[in-house]
Amino acid sequence: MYSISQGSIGQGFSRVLHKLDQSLFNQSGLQGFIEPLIQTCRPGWQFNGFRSRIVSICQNDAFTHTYTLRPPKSWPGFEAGQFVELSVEVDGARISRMFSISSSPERFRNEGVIDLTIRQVSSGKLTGVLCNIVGSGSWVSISAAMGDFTLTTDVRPILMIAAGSGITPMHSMLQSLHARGSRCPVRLMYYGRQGQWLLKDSLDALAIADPNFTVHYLDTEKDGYCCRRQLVEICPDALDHQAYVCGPPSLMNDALTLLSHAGIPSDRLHHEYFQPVMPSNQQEGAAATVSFVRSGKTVAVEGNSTESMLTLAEGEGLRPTAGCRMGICHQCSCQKQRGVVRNLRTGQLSDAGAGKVQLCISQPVGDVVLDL
Amino acid sequence: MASLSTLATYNNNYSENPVSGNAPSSAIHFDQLASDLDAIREEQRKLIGEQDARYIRRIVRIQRCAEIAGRIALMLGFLQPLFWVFGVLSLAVSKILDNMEIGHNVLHGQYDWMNDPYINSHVFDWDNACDSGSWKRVHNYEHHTFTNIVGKDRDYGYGLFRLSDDIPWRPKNRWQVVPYILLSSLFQWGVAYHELAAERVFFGKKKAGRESHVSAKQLKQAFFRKGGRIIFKDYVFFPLIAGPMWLPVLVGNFLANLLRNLWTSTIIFCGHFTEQAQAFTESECQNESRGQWYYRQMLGSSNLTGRRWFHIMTGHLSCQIEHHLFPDIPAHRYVAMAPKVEAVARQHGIPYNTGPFGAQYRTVLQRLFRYARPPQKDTLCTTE
Repeated sequence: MYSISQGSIGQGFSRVLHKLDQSLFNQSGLQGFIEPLIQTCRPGWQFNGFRSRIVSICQNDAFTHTYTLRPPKSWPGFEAGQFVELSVEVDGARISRMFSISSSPERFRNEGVIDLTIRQVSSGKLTGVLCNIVGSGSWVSISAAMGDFTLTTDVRPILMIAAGSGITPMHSMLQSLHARGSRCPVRLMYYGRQGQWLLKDSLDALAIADPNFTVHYLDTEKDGYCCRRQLVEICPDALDHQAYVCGPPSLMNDALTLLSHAGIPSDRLHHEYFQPVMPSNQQEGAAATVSFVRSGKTVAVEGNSTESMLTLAEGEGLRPTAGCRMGICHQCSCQKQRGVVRNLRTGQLSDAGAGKVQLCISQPVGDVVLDL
Repeated sequence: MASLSTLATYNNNYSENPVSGNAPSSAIHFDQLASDLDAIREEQRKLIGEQDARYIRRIVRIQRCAEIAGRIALMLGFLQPLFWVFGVLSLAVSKILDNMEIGHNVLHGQYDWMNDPYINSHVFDWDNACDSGSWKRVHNYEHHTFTNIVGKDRDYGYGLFRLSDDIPWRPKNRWQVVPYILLSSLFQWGVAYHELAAERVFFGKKKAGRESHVSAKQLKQAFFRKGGRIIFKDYVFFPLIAGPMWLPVLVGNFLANLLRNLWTSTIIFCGHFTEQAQAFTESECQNESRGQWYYRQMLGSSNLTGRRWFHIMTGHLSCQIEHHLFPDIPAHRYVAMAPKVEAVARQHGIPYNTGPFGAQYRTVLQRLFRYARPPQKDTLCTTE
């Protein structure tokens, strides 16, 4: 009884504080009120983020860089395999994208730094320009670590299947296992094209240092994609393993199907989907789907359809706020989670990541997910 | 293509007189006009970036400092009365900046591209009795889409003043200077009540054919919630924490609000009520093309000339024409766009209405008094 009344007093008090906050500072609250003032002496400061300094940048290959960051003391740390949301100001706009941490928690505990290994996507709003706009000493903002693609306490041997930048969370896990002195046998099947295996030097060094870890580089052009023959050759006893899969959706679907057919139960089958890579794979005029996440609806769009997303939403029975329907009043502006859209006024294509769109003047190009 | 009627204004700027240099609307190539103005817009849109982010953050910082300094100075009035005077002025400036250069422009979505968690049209709310959601509906949507269309754009007279011959004369119009002064003095409440008046929430029968986007209950809730917060902040909280200085603080807040109300209402009235600004009927604007929409925006708006500080203090509503053509381009860019827009106007023979503040405001007052009188008396008036 005592604790309930304490709780409701506490709740009541915080509600009063909240009302006071809104009244004095309008919607933005105290944080929104003083954030621009703090930014005078601390550029890039954000209340909802952890302001981190870039300690060094290392180029891995023509399109990939590893950024070493020092998060502030208030950053709560992470588990191997987790990711953060990185926010950087690109020409006045704050762009945020998710990246897996490629270094180990042990290194963070010892040195206070984390690595983000980022591959450039040609038309990416962030990755496309990141190496040009930040340098050693720049400030960026990261979120708390997120994700449940992490190591477990299970002692079974580990099978990892990765492709492209899907190696980054696994690299963190491998570094962590090595730092802990784990004797757990680990087998890694890493798919890539000749010369395009990220962090290969680091993986080779780990393989030399740790006899329990073996890495198999598979060239997709020569060996093809994930198939049963490769699995049987490299890991005949997959059934007894815990499996970790991360990479492009096509590889992941193949690998997950393969592994569950091999008898690995779903609680030992860990996987993480990255955001889809676009838009060079997207064909304009191809059929697509628009998903409205909050309403749980999806609509299929025919190729060469000229309907705006506002019309599509209304056709599904949704009633998003709308106004002038000609791109002037911004009443229909809403958040796009991912996907490419074309601006019907200017003909311009957006990038594939998160951002605001005006429904009445946007047309989907490929699959789009809206926060509606 | 609809031709504009001669209901336009008393001093019909839209004349067929070749000496005035203005083309009749039948002679205007609307598609070409649309493409010329779109080109100006696109040119500016490509330049939007870090410069604009830095600019709006600087204005926000100045506004914060002016508000903090103003509120503290009001409380320190007991040390020196001039502190109190400074406090009133500083607080008034902070409210003006918050409402005009920051609030009005941010709520238009001009800075949404920044992805800032606070400086965006979805989250931002201003130091004004008007609920931001209501403002976005009646201003961004209704006013900007149906600009100066009598019967559709309630901003044209606010349902209180008769400003053209399109509205039939009633005896109450004779005294319309009284509601004018009242509205100007209590402008933040007028703006807050604007949508509720349109929706006939408290008085009157709902207008047929009016589209409601929210229910009367939601409107009332938002009105009382926001109004309550504003009253609490300026007339309860700050006087309370001032202790013995409560009365000077309360009076100071009242005066700061009054100064803001008078300034913002005056600038806003100069935007569409000057002599040369034209009004339109609904039928004339059916099935408007993009070029025709641009044309109506140009004819319905007027600019004010002035120094840089003046433009900032008006929230760049001094460039009302550019604002109406390009409402979602960051407003500080309008000054650079104005000469190009004026050149396009000249090329197409479209009037470009601009002038110094004093002269433009005088015509607003003249208009107010002119249409206060019944129509038959108009023919006896001589032109200026």
